This record gives sequence, C-alpha cells and structure tokens, in this order.
Amino acid sequence: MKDAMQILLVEDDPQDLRLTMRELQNANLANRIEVARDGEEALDFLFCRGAHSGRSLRHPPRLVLLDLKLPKVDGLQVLKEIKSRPETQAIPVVVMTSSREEQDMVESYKLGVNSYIQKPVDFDQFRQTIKALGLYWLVVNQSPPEKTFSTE
Amino acid sequence: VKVSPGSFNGLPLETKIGSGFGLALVALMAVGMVQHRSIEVLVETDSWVAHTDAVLAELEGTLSAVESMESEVRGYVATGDGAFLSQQQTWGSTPEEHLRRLRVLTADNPRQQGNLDRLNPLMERKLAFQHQLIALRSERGPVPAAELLAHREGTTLMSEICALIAAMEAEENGLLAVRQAASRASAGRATRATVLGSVLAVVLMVVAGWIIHRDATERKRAENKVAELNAGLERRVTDRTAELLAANQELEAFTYSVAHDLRAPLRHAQGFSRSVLEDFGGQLPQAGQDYLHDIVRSTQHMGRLIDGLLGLARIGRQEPRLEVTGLGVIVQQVLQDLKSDVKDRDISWQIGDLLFVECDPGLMKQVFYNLIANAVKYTRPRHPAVIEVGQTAHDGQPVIFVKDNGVGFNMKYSGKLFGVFQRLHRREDFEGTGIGLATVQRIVRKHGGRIWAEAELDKGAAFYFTLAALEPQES
Repeated sequence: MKDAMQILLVEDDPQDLRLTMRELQNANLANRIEVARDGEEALDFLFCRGAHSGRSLRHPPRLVLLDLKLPKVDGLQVLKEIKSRPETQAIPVVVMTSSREEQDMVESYKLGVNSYIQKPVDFDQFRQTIKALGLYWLVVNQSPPEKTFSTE
Repeated sequence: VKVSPGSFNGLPLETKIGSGFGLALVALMAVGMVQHRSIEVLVETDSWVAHTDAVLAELEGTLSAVESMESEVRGYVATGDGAFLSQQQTWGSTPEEHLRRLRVLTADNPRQQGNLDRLNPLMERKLAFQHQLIALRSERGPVPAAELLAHREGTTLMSEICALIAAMEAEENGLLAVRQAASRASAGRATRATVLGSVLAVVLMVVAGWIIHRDATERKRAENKVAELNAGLERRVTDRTAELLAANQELEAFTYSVAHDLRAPLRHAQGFSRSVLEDFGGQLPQAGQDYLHDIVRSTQHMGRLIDGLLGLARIGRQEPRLEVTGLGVIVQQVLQDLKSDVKDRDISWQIGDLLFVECDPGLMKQVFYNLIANAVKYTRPRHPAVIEVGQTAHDGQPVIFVKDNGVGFNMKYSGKLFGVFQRLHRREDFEGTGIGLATVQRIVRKHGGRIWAEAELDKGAAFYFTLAALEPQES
C-alpha cells in the first residue's frame, strides 16, 4: 500500500508536463506519480497490458489527471474506457485541458468525469489549480476503499 | 373587319377581344334588323291579302247583284208575273253599295278608281235598260219586250260589265301576286341574313375566343417563366447565403482554434519565466530579473488578447439565448463585479431606470461590463468621475446609454472605435486589448440592434445602443 502509485498523469506536451510536475513537486505531491505520454500508454497502464502487464489491477491510481488532446487514443476515448469498465470505473478522473470547447466539457461529464478543469494561461492560477487539485483529491477527498477494486 | 395580323397582334388584348365581340354584336344586330323588316313585310302582305279578299268579295257582290237583276227581269219578260219584280227597289241600291265600298277600298289605286269610273255609267245604263224592258213588257206585251231583250245593246252591256269586273279582279290578283312575291323575297333575304350574320358572329366569337386562349396561354407561359426565374434566383440566394455562412463559420472556427492553440505556448513562456525567477532569481542581476518580469507581463497581456479573441469568436458562433431580463439587474451585477476596480475611486454613479427586455443575459452583461469598465477606466483622471447609465429616446426609439465625463476621444477616429485591436489611447495611459468594443458591437448586432458613440476630447464619451426587443412591439 505504501508504494501504491497515487496519480496517473496523462500528458503529451513535454513543457506542460514539466510545469505540472514542478508544481506537483512544490506541493509535495510528486513522490508517486506515473506519467503516460499518450492515450494508449495510459490504457496499457490502467489495464496492466503491454509494458505494464506485470502490474496488478488491485492497485489503481487514486487519481487520473487526463489531457484531452492526446496522440493515438484521445483523452475522451481513454475516459470512456475507464468509466465503462468495472475494474476502473471507480477511479476518480480529472480532465485537465486547454480546450475551451463546450462540447468537450459536455461530453466529458456525460462519460462520467469527476472534475473538468481548464488549464489557465496565467501561471499563478495554474499553480494554484494544480495545488488545489492535488490537495482536494489526495487529501480532502475520501478515495474509494481498496476492496472496490479487489472484488473483480 | 379584316385587320392585317401584324398590326392586330400589336393591339392590347382588351381591344382585340372588344373588337371581336363588338363586330359579332353588330352582325347580330344587323340580322335582327333584317328579320324585323321581313316580319313587317309579312304582316303587311297578310293585311294586303285580306284587303284583296275584301275587294274581290265586293266585286263578286256587284256581279251577282247585276246577274240576279238580269234573271229576275228575264223571268218577268217571259211570264209577266209581277212576283219577279219583288226585289226591284234593291236593283239600284245593292250594286251602288258595293261600288261605294270598292271606291273606298281601292282609294290608293288610281287604275281601279278609273275602272270604277267606267263601271258606274255602265251600271246606270244597265239599270235603265232593265227598267225599259219592264216598262215595255207591262205596256206592250211579251213580244216587243223579248225583241228588246235579244237586242244587241243589252247583251253587249252585260258582257262589258262582266269584262270590267273581271279586269278589276285580275288587277287585284296581280297586285296580290306582286306583294306576295315581295314578301317571299323579304323572307328569303331574312333567311340569308340570318344564316350569314349568325355564321359571321360565330366566326368572330371563335376568333375572339381563340385570341383570348392564345393570350392566356402566352401569359401563363410568361408567368411560369417568371416563377422559374424567381425560383432560380431564390435558389442562388440560398446557395450564396449558405456559402457565406459556411465561410463565416470557417473563419470563426479558424480564429477560435488559432486563439486556442496560442494559449499553451503562452502558458509555457510564462510558466518557465516564473520558474526561472522563483528557482534562480537570486543568481540573476536586477536587470535580468526585470526582463523576466517584462516577459511575464507580456504573456499576461497576450493571454488577455487571446481570451478576448476567443470570446469574440464564441459570440459569432452562438445564437443569443433570449429571455426576458431586467437590464437594471444586469447593471447592478456589473457594478458588483467592478467593485475592486472602483474601491479607491471617486465616482458619482447616476443609474436610471432600465426596461425589462428580451436578450441573452450573459451576453448583455458583457455589453454593460465592457461599456461601464471603459467608463471607469477613461474617467481615471476625474475627481469626481461622473458615470451615467440610463435610457432615452432617439428618433422615437428607446435607446440605452452609458455616458462619462472622462478623457473622451476625437470624433474623427470614431470609425475605428468598434474595430478589433483598434485603440484610441496609448497602452501606457490606458491599458486594454482593443477587443472590448468589437465584442460589444457584435453582441448588440446579434440582438438586432445598433451601437454608436458621441464624444469630445477631454470632455467625455457616450455610448448608445438599441436592441431589437426595445423597438415598438409589432402585433
């Protein structure tokens, strides 16, 4: 349990990735972060396939931070997979995107996203958002109990 | 009646139809007149037949009176019996009566009158001869009387009378024959006129009908052609409108996506500049730190520009969601939002009564926010600033206005006022993106309204706008 990975960060943009990691580190949340650089990698990780076939489904991330614009499999498709499969549907997913398309937001909520955040241009706001996000989902929010995932 | 087709075709339809039916009418009237005349002749002929019958009867009466007188006298001469003379007193009067009536009946015929003139003395002589015979018989006995009776004079007289009466009968019959022939001729004319006139009228009406039909067909064809052209035109307008709409949407989508894609690198530039300042700021000389702060400020400004552009593009892409909204409430919300901007300012607010109108409340708030924020910004040098929001009338139409006593602008630049990225002040004097008023104008237009400004440099500015919902209600 102690080495359980806490956040799966799905982000293809290296600069966004670095800035996000920096803020997560500053908020002391970066010690257990897994990074996926595209949708396929994210799904492989979540469902313990391919390079992650040795992993156990019993230890899901406590939070998935998901970008929408991703290579190979896009964010909405990843979200759909997570929320439609019993072994992963209890995992909280937060969409973090620079998209302001209302349609993306509506679609995400319909697919069962737990939170939808638009990346602010202003760095201070960005920093506060990352900090609040980690604090809320990893500290304030009660994660689903582990047996939620072991019943399958 | 014949009109050459060329010049006839040039006539208006009404003239063609009118002349066709008019000529048919004239033909029918002529037929009617000929028939009327023919009937008159027939009636006249009929009365002449009766007249001739009357004349003939009188002539017969005269002849029979003379003959009965003759036979009675012969009877007396032969027998000496006075009974034969019982009618003696009518011998003179009866033919006289007939002759008198004949004179009246044939008063218009000089020939018959002449015949009568000759008949009268013959009759008198005959009567006198008969009296002579009677006297001879009664005085001298049957032999001398019989001798006289056989005398040539008596026989000649009688045959003359008979011949004259026969001549008069022949004259009358001849006249009747002439009149009957005239009547037959008249009837024949009437029949021919009827046939000819009717045929002519029918032909004229058929021609007129054909002209009407031809013209109606032509008109129908022309109408169809016009309808076809109209449909084509409408189709083209629809197509062009659709093309224009598509082009416009494409442009909006392009603006949106460009503005959107600019956000990420901007965030990075700002983020890494801040990271350098935070992580290694202490190692940099002051100038280096200042440059990084400038980069951050520039990215912040660009962020606002992009947000403005995105907002503008979004307004273009969406239709206003209309609901009845109190503009006064919106103004109060805007003042609430601007609270932090005005907390150190000396502003005299003059907010008038505003109507409830049908509008998109979110968009209308942007309108008031931009106009009032502008007023707040450009009155910064004023102590106190006076900002007025209210409603007035312009050309009998309700108009909403936002007025201030700020720095204003020169009206010769008013054409640039609502253009994107157009600014009338230097950024170091008054910050801004140059997108606010373009956004306001776009929202007002989306609501079917119009916006304009009046200003004077260093005196203030006033912005006026109308909304379709503010216009006088139509049914």
